[in-house]
Amino acid sequence: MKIKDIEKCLKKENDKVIVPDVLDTVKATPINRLLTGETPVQAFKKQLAMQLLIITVGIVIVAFVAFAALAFVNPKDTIGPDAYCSFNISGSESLRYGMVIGADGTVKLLVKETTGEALEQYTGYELKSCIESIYTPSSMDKVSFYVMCSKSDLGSYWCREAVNDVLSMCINGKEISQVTSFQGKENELITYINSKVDESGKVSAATDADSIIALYLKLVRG
Amino acid sequence: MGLSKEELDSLMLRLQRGDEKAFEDIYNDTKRGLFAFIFTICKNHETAEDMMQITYIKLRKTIASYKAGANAYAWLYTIAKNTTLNEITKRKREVATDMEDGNAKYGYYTMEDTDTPIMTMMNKVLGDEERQIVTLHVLSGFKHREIAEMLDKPLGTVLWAYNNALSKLKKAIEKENRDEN
Repeated sequence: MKIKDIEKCLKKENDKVIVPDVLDTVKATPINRLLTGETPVQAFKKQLAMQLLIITVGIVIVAFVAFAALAFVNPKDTIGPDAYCSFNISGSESLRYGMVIGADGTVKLLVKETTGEALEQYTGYELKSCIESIYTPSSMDKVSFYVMCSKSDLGSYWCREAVNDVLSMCINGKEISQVTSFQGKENELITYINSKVDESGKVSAATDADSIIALYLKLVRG
Repeated sequence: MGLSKEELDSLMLRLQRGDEKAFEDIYNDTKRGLFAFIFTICKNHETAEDMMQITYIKLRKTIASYKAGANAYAWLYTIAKNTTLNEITKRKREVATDMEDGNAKYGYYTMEDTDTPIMTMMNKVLGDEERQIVTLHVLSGFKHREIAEMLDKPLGTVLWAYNNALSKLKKAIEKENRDEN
């Protein structure tokens, strides 16, 4: 028997083999949940779009969770003083306070920033209550203060208004000889300060506001 | 494998557009060769039937990813091969049990051994890979080059294995004829 004959015989024999008919079963199997009139290609594109959507949503959720976790683990990075208030009463030592002010005007954190002293923290109070707790007015006080906010004008505005309110109430009962205030963003304040300082570094005018500026220079610039 | 590659490609594209008649034509053209091929891998009639069914279901499920102009036969046979090999791994223990019963494993395949003596002989004397190569070339109509690509083997190896398999088969048939006489 030749090789060619074997090949022919194999083909003939294979034609005799009963091949199971699975056509009906295969056709009856639902394929990719095809809708009426929908082609496999359309279903595939729809499926692909859904998968992309799921992946995108997944990535967004993971990113959100990661950011939330980071914020939770290291909250100091996101919360820091966004306003500073500096008091000088009758020419005595200046006290500087760092503040975090919430959207509702409540102080989230008020810290006395004088070095070498224990921190005093007041949280959850209204700004006015905080000011009252750090300053007790007495007769003939000569009060100077400045408020500086590096993040928003609103924070420094609230702070200055609160201080003014406190002092105004005090004035009703007692005599406060002089109240000076200053408000602004840090970069604006520095620009203003620079305009008030001559080449030799001396403050050009000895007004109370300028004294505050000189104090600021001393504190910030050393 | 009665249709040309171009004709089968055209049917595949029609199936992509949801033409059910095209699927029937593909099925009728490929079922015999595909079944023989699957059988050479799993060597069990019932498993081969299951695998053939799964292969065609997979064909319908993945038809959207078929690229026009691709070798549709090779694509279909690759699905069949991977499906069957995966299933064999799953049913390893079960298949091993079937293998122990030598007559039973081939008995379902043919109507009667006397009607298909050469196929019966092929199953007896050839190894798995030789049987696959012979089936793919003789029964499914693939060229040796295509078989080499499908089985991921050098063309020379496939040619050698094919010639060697047919020589073994020839010798076995001649020996059997001599014994009968």
